[in-house]
Amino acid sequence: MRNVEKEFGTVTRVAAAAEVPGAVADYLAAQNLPSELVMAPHPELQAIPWQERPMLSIRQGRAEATDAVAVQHAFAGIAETGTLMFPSAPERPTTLNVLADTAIAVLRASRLVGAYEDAWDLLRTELGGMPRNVMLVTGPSRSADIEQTLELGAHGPRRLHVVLIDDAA
Amino acid sequence: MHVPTSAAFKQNAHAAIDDPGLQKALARSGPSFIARRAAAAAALPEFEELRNTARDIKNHTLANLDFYLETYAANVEKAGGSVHWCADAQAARETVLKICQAAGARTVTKGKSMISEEIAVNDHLEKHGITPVETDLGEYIIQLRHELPSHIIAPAFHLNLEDWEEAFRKSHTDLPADRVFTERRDILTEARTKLRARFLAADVGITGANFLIAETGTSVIVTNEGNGDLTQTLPRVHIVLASIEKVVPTLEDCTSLLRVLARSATGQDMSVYTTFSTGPRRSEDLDGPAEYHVVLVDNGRSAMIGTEFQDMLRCIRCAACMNHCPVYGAVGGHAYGWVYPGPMGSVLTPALIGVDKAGLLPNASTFCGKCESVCPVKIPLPGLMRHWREREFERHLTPATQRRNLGLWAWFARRPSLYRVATRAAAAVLGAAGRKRGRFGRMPFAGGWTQGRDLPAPEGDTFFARYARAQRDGTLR
Ligand code: SF4
Repeated sequence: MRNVEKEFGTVTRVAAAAEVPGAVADYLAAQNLPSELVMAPHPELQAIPWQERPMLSIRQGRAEATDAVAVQHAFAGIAETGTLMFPSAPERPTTLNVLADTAIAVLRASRLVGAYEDAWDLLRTELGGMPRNVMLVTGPSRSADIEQTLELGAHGPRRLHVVLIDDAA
Repeated sequence: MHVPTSAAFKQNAHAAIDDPGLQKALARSGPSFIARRAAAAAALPEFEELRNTARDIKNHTLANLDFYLETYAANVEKAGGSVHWCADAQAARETVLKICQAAGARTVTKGKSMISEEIAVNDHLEKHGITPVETDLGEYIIQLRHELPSHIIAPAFHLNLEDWEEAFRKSHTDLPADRVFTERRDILTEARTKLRARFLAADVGITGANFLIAETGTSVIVTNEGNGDLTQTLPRVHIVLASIEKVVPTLEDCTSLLRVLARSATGQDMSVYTTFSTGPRRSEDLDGPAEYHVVLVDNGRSAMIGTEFQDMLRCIRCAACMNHCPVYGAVGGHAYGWVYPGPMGSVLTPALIGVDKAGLLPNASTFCGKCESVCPVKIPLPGLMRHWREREFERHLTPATQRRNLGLWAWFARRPSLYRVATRAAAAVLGAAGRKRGRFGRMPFAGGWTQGRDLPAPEGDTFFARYARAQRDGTLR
């Protein structure tokens, strides 16, 4: 996960899924961001006790242009380059990866693999075929088109935050 | 439409050297690309080995191009998409226009695509009342300024902050005239806001493709801004514009090429967004386009197959060659007079628009060999430029060459039925082969012009393949 930070993303580690709402709320507060968010309708995210943080107002579904913060379910993390893998599915809409200003990805440590090939193996065995869309995301959106100098936050998210659940043995 | 001015390379180059704004931009940007690539390559001990792998994957694919293209097309259709084969730029422009018209499109957003510049599709859409909007920041300003890109991955390489400000003030007249731009961020924010509205309003999104994957019928785009993803996810129709040499056999092959692409291009380990698209939205999906079209363009590539210029079709458009080229560094991209500048342009442009129009470009070289030494797919660029110089000597050879090299398309045209039968059977085999470790050992149905040729599968393990296997086998802890 050091590679995530090299690419200008941030990471919070939590010991269990129950700590995710706290980590998300703290992150949003620290960044001065609104506490309304749109979340992927994924069973693993739905099982998180969000009600313990009543300040967070959560809508489930795809992202719309007005959404400022999106919480997405990461299928896998690839250590090689600090990359997150998001295969599209009804419970993992693609718009959550790119439309909001702040993208938060929830990733279980047991889903960390070494190389891209390992992630393709996971995808083939668990999903069977190729989903409509698979995004590999490495850090927040950026552009160097103006004078070849890097600026974060082009068209995609300005911030990419990973909440890593330590469920690995 | 931009008429090629490659024949005027000498005049262009003189003008470029006398242009202080351009010289400022070149001096600022050139060295940083070189340093970043060097750092990225040095951080990966097996980088050299990966370049060999990348070259071999491309060679193998080109040797079996007909087979992989047909497999690719069959798999796109299996996923619910449509493939439109276009022999030249005119056919491709017409096809794109027809799809847009059928969708009732008024505005079309576009991701960065060099083939789109090559076939000049924007002019064609505009002529028919459809507004194309470039969404890559660099392409956006190029469009505002009615220019060609001056670099294949950094279209606005030749511009300075002042130029951005001037273009934005001139074009965004609905914004207060007294607004101030103090830094790059202000430009970025204004562009982001302007283009947001465009993304949401567009009826069709057009992207290019860095790779097409035969095994899965997938198109792959690589961006840092996220504009390509908004372009292909939000509108109702997604059009992929791709030239035929973009195809690779498997996901793993694509992965191997991705490992050298970003490192060679920007010195990043991986670009921010690498997106694999396979067909239109599935029935339960909450987002994604309802229609998925691939416009597959030949436009002179198949005539390069079987000639000494076949090597050029390995190019993955990383721009390392121009970033390291002393000639490009002195004159910039526009002097080359058409879409593709630098060493790769000096080889490709004569092949695509004719050596009579671009014969000077292969002379735009000091033959220092730097381009070949950094090319991630090891294209012998100086050698190919030398070939062109010989050809230029014997101009009359061009038509004869075309006659001699039948070309892939002619081959397709003559054997359509044989082909369809072979590939339908092959597709099933292919999927199974692909799921095993990596790539296809032996081509089960690659007949025709590949017959009798030996087709070695890429050999040699990369570090990552070894690493992945060791980890799976539990030998790594
Ligand atoms: S010729 Fe080689 S170095 Fe130049 S753009 Fe193509 S792949 Fe990159």
